[in-house]
Formats: sequence, C-alpha cells, structure tokens
Amino acid sequence: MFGYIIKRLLWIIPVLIGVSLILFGIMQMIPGDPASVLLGPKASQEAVETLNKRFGLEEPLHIQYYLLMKNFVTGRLESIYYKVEVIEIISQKLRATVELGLTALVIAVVLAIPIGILAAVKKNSVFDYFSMMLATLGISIPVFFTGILLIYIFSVIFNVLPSSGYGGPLWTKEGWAHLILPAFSLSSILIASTSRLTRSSMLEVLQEDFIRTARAKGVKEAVVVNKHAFKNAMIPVITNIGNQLAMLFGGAILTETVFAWPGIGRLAVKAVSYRDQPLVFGTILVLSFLYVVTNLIIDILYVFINPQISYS
Amino acid sequence: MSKKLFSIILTAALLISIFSLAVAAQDDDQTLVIGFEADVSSLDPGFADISVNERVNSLIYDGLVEYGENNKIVPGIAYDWDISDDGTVYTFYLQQGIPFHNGESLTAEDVKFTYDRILNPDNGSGLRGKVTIIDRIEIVDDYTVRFVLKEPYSPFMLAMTFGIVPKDYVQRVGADEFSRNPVGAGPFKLEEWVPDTRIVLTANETYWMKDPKLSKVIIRPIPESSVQAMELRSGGIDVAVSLDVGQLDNFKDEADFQVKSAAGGGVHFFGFNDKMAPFDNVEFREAFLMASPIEQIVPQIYGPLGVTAYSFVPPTLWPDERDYLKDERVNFNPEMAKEKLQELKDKGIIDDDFTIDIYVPSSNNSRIKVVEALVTSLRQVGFKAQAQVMEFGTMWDKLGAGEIGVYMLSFVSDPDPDYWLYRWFKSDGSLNKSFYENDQVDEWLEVARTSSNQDERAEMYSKVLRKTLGDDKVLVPVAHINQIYVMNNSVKELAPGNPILIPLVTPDANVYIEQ
Repeated sequence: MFGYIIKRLLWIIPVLIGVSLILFGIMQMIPGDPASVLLGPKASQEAVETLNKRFGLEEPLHIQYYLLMKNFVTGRLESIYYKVEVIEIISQKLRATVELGLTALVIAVVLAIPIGILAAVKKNSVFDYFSMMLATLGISIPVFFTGILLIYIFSVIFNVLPSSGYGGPLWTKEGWAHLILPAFSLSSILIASTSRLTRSSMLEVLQEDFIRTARAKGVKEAVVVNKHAFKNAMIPVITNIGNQLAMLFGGAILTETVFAWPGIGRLAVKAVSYRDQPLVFGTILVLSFLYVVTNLIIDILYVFINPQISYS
Repeated sequence: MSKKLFSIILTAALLISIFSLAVAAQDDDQTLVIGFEADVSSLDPGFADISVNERVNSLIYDGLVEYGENNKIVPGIAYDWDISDDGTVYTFYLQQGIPFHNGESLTAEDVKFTYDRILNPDNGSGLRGKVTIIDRIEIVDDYTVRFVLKEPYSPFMLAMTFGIVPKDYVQRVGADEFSRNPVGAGPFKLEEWVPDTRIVLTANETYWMKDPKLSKVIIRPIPESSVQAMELRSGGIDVAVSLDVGQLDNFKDEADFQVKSAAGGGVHFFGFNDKMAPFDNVEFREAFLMASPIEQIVPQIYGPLGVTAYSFVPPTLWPDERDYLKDERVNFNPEMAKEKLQELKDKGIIDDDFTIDIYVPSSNNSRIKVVEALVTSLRQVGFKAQAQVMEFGTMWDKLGAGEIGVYMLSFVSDPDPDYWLYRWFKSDGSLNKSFYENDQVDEWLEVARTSSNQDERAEMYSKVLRKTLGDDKVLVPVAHINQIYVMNNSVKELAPGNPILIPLVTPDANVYIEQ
C-alpha cells in the first residue's frame, strides 16, 4: 500500500510535465500576445517591447519554456498582469476555492447520500418520486440560475445572507455567511447526481443474492441496508464524488462569477484572457496537481470501502 | 449510528447558521459601498490605462489640475499656471503644504518625478503617449515647476490631471510594492485591498480641498450585472456603476432608488478596412449602410444606456457635427440596398459567394447584439453575412495584421478631440486599424494639435469629421454610451460625469449618506 502511494506520487511528475508541455503549446497557438492585451490599444511600441523584455517573451520557445518551468519549480513565477509572484496570487485564491469546494462537497454528501438511500429503500414512494424529481431539476438547472435564485430568496427577499463576495476565512462569522449561498449553489449538481447514483446503486445491491441471504438469516432490515448494502453501493458513488470534486476545484467558474467569489477558476479564465502566460501556467499546473492528488485519495479510499480491492 | 448523528448535527448546523446570521447592519454611518464590474490590476497612477484603475485612482491621487464641471480644467494641486505665448512653456504654481497620505509634503520634486517616471520608456507606462511632447521638466523652486514642450500641443493640460506620486516613498518601496500599497494626495487613502474581493479606502483627514464627508469607501468587484442589481436591493452595495440594460429598466420606476445618467461614456462604432476590397469601396459601404437599420436598433439594444451616434466625438465634446453628419448618413433603405447589391455584383465589385464577416469582441453584449441584428438585416436584402464574435486579444491581433474587413469596437478617451481623432484617423495613428490614409486629414490633425486658437482647432476637427465620416465613411458611429449610476436614495450629491473618475469629492460635490 505504502509503496503504491509512493509510486503514484512519483507518477505525478511526468503527468505535470506532460500537462505543462501541452499547456505551453496551446498558449503559443492562441493569437494575441500579452503586451497588446495588457497594455491595451493605446500602448506604444516601446511599452510593448519593455514588457516583452521583462518577461522574457522575446526568447526562443525552448528558453521560454525552460524559464517558465524553472520559475515554477522555484516558486518565482511572476504574473504579467498583477506584477506579483504567481504563488502569492494562487495561494490567496486557492483558500477561497478549497473552502468553497469542500463545503459544497460536505453539503452534497450529507444531503445526497441519505436521500439516495431512503429513495432506494422506499422505492416508488412519494418521497422517492419527489426527491428524484428534485434531483432531475438539480442536474438540469444551470448553477448560474440556481445561484441567482438563491441570492434572490435569501438576500433580496429575506435579507438574511449577503448576496456575493468573499467575507473572510470559513471560521469567521462573515466568512461563513458569505460561503453558504455559493456552497449550496455549487453543491446542487453534486447533490443531484450523487443522490441519483446512490439510489440506483443501492437498488442494484439490494437485489443481490447476499442481501437476500442476509434477510433470510433474519438480519434486521436496518442492518441490511446500513451495513451490507450501503458499503457495496458506495463504490460507484465515491468514484463519482472524486471526479466531481476535481471539477469543484477547477470548474466552479460559473459559481465564482455569479457570487463574485475570488477563486482559482475565475483566475484561470482571467489569466487566459490576459494572455498572462506565467499565471496560466501556474494556475493550471496547480489545478492539475489537485486533480491528480484527489484521484489518488479516492483510489486509496476504495481500499477502506471494499476489502476486495488492494494495491499490494 | 454515529454517522447518522454526525449528519443530523451537520444539517442542523447548516440550517441554524442560515437563519441566525443576519447581514451585518451598516452601522458605520458614512460608509459608501460601490459595485464595480471588475477588480483593478494596479493602483499605480502611472499605469492607470485601464478604465477601472483610472476610476479608483481618481480617489487616491490628485493631479496638478482637475476636471471641474463639464470637464473644464480647474486648479488642483497647482493653484495657478502660465502658458508662454508660443504655447511651449507651461509653468505651474503649487499650493504649499499639501501632505501625502504618509505625511510627506508634496513639492515640485514629486511632480517632476511623477512625469519623468511616465516618460521613461523602461517603465512601460501606458500614459507615456500622452506626454511624449514634453522636452524637459524644470524645478524652478520647491513650489514652482515648468514643463517645456518640444512644440505647441493644445491638449497638453489634460495630461496634467495625472495623479502625483510621492518621490521618496516610491523610490523607497519600489514600483511593484507601490502599485499595491499606494500613497497619494487625493481625498481617500488605501486601507486594504483584497484582490477580487474589495478595496477599502478611508477619508484623508488632511485633504487640501475639503474634508471628505464620507468616512469610508468600499469598492467591490461584482462581474455579474444581475448580481450587482440584487446587491443593490439587499443593501450589499449603495451604488452600482455598470448595470446592463435589463437591470436598468427595472430600477427606473422604483421609488427607493435614484438613477442618474450622463453622456460621454464612449462611442460604439463600425470600421471598414480601407486597404481590403471590397470594404475599401465607398459604394460598398453605402450598400452596407442602406441595409443597416442602425437608428431602429440602437434604442432597442441600448435602451437608456445609449443614443444613436452620428459623430465620433461624444455630445459632451466639441465640435458638434452631429446634425451635419446625420444629414450625410446613408439611411436605412432595404429596397435600395437590394438594387445597390445587384449593382455591385454587376460591376464585379463583389461576387455571388462573397460573405461579410463582421468581427466583434466577446466582452460586451450590446455590441454583439448590434452585430447580430445587422447580420440579419444584411441577409434580408441578399448579402451573405455572419458575426465573428471573438475574444478581444485575438481580434486585436487580426485587426493589426489587416485581416479584418469590417469590425465593431468601442472607444472612450479624455475630453479633447485630439485624443479621440488623432490616433484613429492619422495615417500613422496608433489606433488606425482601418489603415485610412489621407494627406489632408493628416494635415488638419497636425494643425489642430499644435494650434492654440480654439476656433481654428474646432474648424480643423470639423473638417476631419466631415471628411472621414461624412464623405469616406471609414468609420460608422453607432451609439454614444451614457454612464448610468443607480444608487439608493440615501446617497447624496453623487452623479456621473467624466467616465475616468468617480466624483465623490470634487470642487462641486462632496458625497455623503443621509441617515
């Protein structure tokens, strides 16, 4: 197990190098250079040259790539737009992104899994139909709209929560108040997909022979559901959550935009539109790293859920 | 069981927190919260060439002179000035004892340092183009500074509005640190800047002009217009400065809010490539315009945000050639457009397969809607047309390479026609993306730039506008944009004016919140 984790961690290095090469290639192919985008149409030729020189944009491509990688590894990558070190910007935004992503995840897990189980156990009941109808809605309605709806209800009508912005760290009152709406909004899709998946997975497991055997042996229904069925049904659910979690970190752009949340998704979009190559480079590599690590954690979690899986 | 308990506790915690947290009441009496469309990138006035930066910087810094009512130049840090008869020497007399936010005194040294810094090509300041006319800057004494120009340059005074920075502080902390922790001599000083979240400014109690009535100004970047509108309704912000048309319509008739507008937010326009067939052909441009119901679509798309434009310079600026250019405008006439199209084909100017690609940046919805409406009308008369919506950087690159035949853009600048016309219409103008070349126009632009005679300047610019827009139709103005502030009723003395500043503390206004 330990050896497996080390091996997977080492694999991260070639993965990130691969990502960086593809990224660098794509950045070279996009038309428009940072100087003309950043300095705007009013910039003089001299200003453009100064900027290109300062950020090594006149160097041959392989040197540019080498400089980017070197600066990334040593933490000296500097943003062209913000004129500060990329690591400083990312660490600011990463906290907001992780707070939002994890809170959304907790909300989703806490709500979706019990709903899914209950819907499966009480199949074809009013609860089942109602919760699955909500889940379908949750998947179909864009996060954008859910967000605006939540803002309208909780800040405009009831005026109990702030509509947008980042209030501070999660553990402060302001921070928590600002986090609730975006986290719920972001979790809506995850709640929907997870509860549906939990339900169908549970239904499948509940049909299995070993469940019938357990019931035949007179095991209490609650134990059958919670112990025997639940663990087995969780494997596809955890896989789904794992995939979605990576999305929560990198792909929360819409939620971040609606709620003016200073996260890393919006940062990445902004960096691309400003052609801020070092910032794009840093942001995407950090996101890729998060993605790979999340997947590793999910793989390790399997072992605990399903003893049949082992990585020896 | 423990899992169940855990989930119950967590759910309960969530619900309790939702209902127990009331939004912190705005107990701080004189705090104004403004919603912006984007965050600033730098608070260094030498790099204030992005509109958001300019507006925020206008609160932190003061210039030698300021914009007064109707954008007239009024005294600022300089209480008076002389201009030599030949128009090349400007001498400014500074008020004594004006302190920067850090307590240091503002002197002629700081003024010279501010402009030398912008002029130094190594610093890459986007404002440099506006001051390259300066030959040298002389310090006469601590409170007198003299600018010697290479040749007369009429719009020079506008460049004297740039924020003055403290020499010692900037040299001590360096440019990058300065851009994040700025020190100026303006009405507000920076307390905190949390990128993409908020900028908090507090009143400068030693401000020379007057005591700001607001004790605190918070600027919040909220990119979504609809969210800005909801923030306004829920009290999260007091003023929204960039709502889009849909939101504005909702606020118009509401008693709890004031909607104030001013002209001069810029111009949206089409441009034709003067070096690419058939876009270089005036007959083609006329056929294009006959098929384009610009006057009909502007009110629908822009609503209160814009009025149909005939001139390139805004209605707030001289010379006013709107009536002349309106008469010269080729009116919408689909029947004639059809005939004209056939004529163009017969003459071999365009062939049957020719498709008009109209390029427009993806960043502004109104512009895209105009282009889409036009594409529909062009198709209705038989043209083949499509909209090419493109990210700005990409489009700008293609424009510069001369690959675009017709484009839609917008432009806003300082209140002098030189800033509006020189770069777009001069043969070697930096914004001349139509590659327009006309010796006469070049000459008029040069004369107007160096003349100190207001009537002569106005005459020259009239000629430029009549020739380029009236005769050659190289650019086609579509809409003049209004700036609109929506604010709750407690905000007093705030109204939009100059698009590059937020007029909170000006010679004519001192914004406050009525309790």
